[in-house]
Amino acid sequence: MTTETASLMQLNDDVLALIVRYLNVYQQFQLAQLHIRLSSIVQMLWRTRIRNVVLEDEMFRRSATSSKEFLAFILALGPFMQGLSCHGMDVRRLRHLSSHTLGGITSFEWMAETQRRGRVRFVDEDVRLLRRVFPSLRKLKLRGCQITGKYLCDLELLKELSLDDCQFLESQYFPDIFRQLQLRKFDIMEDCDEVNCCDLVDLQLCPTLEHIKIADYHLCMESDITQQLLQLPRLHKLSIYSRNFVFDVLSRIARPNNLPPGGELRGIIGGRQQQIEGFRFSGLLHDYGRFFRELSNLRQLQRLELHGLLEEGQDQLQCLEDQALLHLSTKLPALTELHLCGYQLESPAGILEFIIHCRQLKIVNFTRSKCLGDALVWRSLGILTKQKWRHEPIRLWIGESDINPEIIHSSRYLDNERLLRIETKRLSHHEDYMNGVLKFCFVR
Amino acid sequence: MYSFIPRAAPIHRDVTVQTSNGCQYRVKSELANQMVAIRCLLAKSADISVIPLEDIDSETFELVLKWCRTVRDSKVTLNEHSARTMFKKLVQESIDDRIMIYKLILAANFLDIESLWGATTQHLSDEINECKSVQDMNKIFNVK
Repeated sequence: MTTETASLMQLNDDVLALIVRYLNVYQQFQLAQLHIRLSSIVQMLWRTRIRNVVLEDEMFRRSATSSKEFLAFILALGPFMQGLSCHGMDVRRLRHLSSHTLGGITSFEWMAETQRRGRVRFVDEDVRLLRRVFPSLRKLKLRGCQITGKYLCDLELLKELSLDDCQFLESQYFPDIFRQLQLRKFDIMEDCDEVNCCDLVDLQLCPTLEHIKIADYHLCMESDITQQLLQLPRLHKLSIYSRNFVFDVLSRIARPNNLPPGGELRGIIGGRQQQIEGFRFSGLLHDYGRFFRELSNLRQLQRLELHGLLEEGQDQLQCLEDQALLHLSTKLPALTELHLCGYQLESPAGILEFIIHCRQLKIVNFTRSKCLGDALVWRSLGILTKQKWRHEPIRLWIGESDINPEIIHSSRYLDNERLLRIETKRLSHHEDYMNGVLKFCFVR
Repeated sequence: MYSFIPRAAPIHRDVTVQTSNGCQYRVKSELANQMVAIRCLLAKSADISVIPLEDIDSETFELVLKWCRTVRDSKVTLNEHSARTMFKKLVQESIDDRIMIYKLILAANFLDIESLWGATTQHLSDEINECKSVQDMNKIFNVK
């Protein structure tokens, strides 16, 4: 292609801005070096659109970026950034920033490529570097790092700390982390096999914690830290990942005083489970009867969300029996939202019992579930017609279920829309719905 | 997906345009409707008989028409991916000069053909993406 007199600068600023927007942030920087007009366009773009930047190793490897070029790039971008996320980057690039300060950055993520052999790893000294370079850091996520945790307590302003696949953490440093930092969120849910539950007993030293994400082995070892967790005054969400001990975890939270399932709690506390207003679980279980018996201890539950999975190699949904659902429905009088997604119900009776017993019920989410098709809708209407005390319709979500979406056009449904409002849209599986996680929400 | 923004009423008749080098073209309404600038012009002055395109020469305008015909005849939904593919094909078949791409971008910008300036700017940024260094960018795009 001949290019003798062709120049990109023949184009007007609007067109150049559009071209620049398609490029990654490093290419924008490179282009800006070429001409003052391009520099001005890139600056305008960064000023109005850049807040959180993701840098990937590929951006710099392709053009064999030198340390000087990388430093110039980060210093140019620094004033515009609030969040910086580094994916698969060589940590030596981060170390080039060592004698600089980027005070505007409040959120930093280091997501190492754990599979890559021979790569220099993010270590304790790099945490000290973060403190120097990002003095305003409030949110930190580290994945695949070789840190012991020694200097994490020095990140004085940190409010959110997430450690993923950091297998060299040492328990001796956790008391200082929890004592000195005013964390609101702590996430150590995945792949931290070296940290056992005795170490996390020091979580109670951090009374500011609102959201905790841990794994079951942090809870279910010799020293039970459940009580300490439940007594944290500001705890709002507790997520526990469990592959094999779901019932044990649930019973520890739902029955912290080791009462038998369904046993009455007397006296004053221990009543934190009384304050559990929401529960969510997505995964495979083989005994829903037992699961529901444990759930029935959460008497103040307002939101129950269960997502079923298909077993590997199977194409049949997990089945929920009427009897188990009936029992549960009588124990959760405060329930306002019931989400039973991706299950095969024995019959509509299970869901109907919730409509009968849960007077506050507002939402029934039946997405991806199956139960004799439209019969659920008609029988629900039959019950709702008699419930004169209801002032609002129940919303029924039926996306991808075996209920015919055309039902919303039937005259029988339309005549009763004041009692039941059907939503047919497909609700996507939220990315936060990690399988095998029990999530408890506490009343604030 | 490119959205149809009816900033002016659709045109129901063929229109005549005159390019910068004096050539006249009779453009069918379904092609002219892709050119929002012409729709707006006719909305203001319905009786205009020949629309002047002072900054677009005939060679460029013929490529614009070729693009508009491709969009009209396309059986797939026009989105970023399909537009990119269609434009690559146009470049392979009909364009051998980067100057022409720049002229096409400017024409698309002037005529306000969303699909074309999207495809052309995407094409150029793809080419920039291929460059491994600032020196490459300068050499290919003759910036300085």
